[in-house]
Amino acid sequence: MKFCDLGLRSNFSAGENSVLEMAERAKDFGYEVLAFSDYLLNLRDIEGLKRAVSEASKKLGCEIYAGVRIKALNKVELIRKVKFFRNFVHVVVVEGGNLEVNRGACSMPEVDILAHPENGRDDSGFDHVMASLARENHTALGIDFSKILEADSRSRISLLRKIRKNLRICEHCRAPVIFSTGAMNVWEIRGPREIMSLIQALGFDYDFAEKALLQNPNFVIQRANEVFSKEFVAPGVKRYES
Amino acid sequence: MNLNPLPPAMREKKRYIVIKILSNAKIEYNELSYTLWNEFTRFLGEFELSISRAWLIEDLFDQENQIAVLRVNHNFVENFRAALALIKEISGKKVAIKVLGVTGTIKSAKERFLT
Repeated sequence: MKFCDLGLRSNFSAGENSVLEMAERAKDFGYEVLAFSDYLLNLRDIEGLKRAVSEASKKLGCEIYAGVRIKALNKVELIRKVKFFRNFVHVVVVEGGNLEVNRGACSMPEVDILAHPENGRDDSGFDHVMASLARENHTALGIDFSKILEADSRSRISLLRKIRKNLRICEHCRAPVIFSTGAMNVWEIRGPREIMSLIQALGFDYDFAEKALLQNPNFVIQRANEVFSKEFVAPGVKRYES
Repeated sequence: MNLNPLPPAMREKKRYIVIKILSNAKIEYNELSYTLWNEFTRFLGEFELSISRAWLIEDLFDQENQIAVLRVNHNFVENFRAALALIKEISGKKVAIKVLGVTGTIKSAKERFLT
């Protein structure tokens, strides 16, 4: 098992540093599998990101994948965007905030991560029904460390409260959780062990914290690799040559 | 009359967190110490800071390699690691703090990280 960070952002969208710079720093902090989930619009963006990612991967010798971060206003838009991007990238992250979108993302097996369902809300935006759906469809609750890092004193209190509530629901319903750095620049990257410490400081045990940075993200990458392999026909069906 | 030193079994258990400061500019001991105390009080609070017996060891601060050693009670290591990760600026300079490791004695901290 290798430490994964599936939420990096480069200068392809909102980030400030290039793919190579970000990957170098993340590798220095101990990550071995990386995915850049940028806001992409069309096929040209996807191709550009994929090219940059494969160049960086060759240069640094670690696994780097391309991903996408989707913003949707309603369920129809969400389904349209997810179905389009799923064919091209390894990781599909949906930004939460709207209840309809949160619920939709949890009920779609194509979505890998639902990031921050509490975005811009007074409540935590995630309940036990969504958690059960997320467990069935292997959609993970995603939390970006950079959100906590960026928040000032007052908003950090409410953000940590909401995150803790969502994590408790996920722990109870056994829904997967994925923590990532969500870094926009090299200064926002933190080590995997430090993020695990924060989860433990919030009152969860070591195994839960380890799953959020090792097993669950590795599962996402493994599933995507299977789908993109030549032997894949349909979920559960593989082609074997005699 | 002097106090007798406590027997080893009755002493509080300590851990030494060895940190490296990543930044474009060199950070001095005073700046680091000031920021750490401020951030720890903000994130952990006065109560937890008092019972954890945290201390930044001045003698072990390596100005050239930007390595420092922080002593805490063994029950509070995870909380302090989280608090260290949440530091993003030291006197206006952007920083990222990387934990190199946690040791049980100063001797092993020196052998592993400060030679």
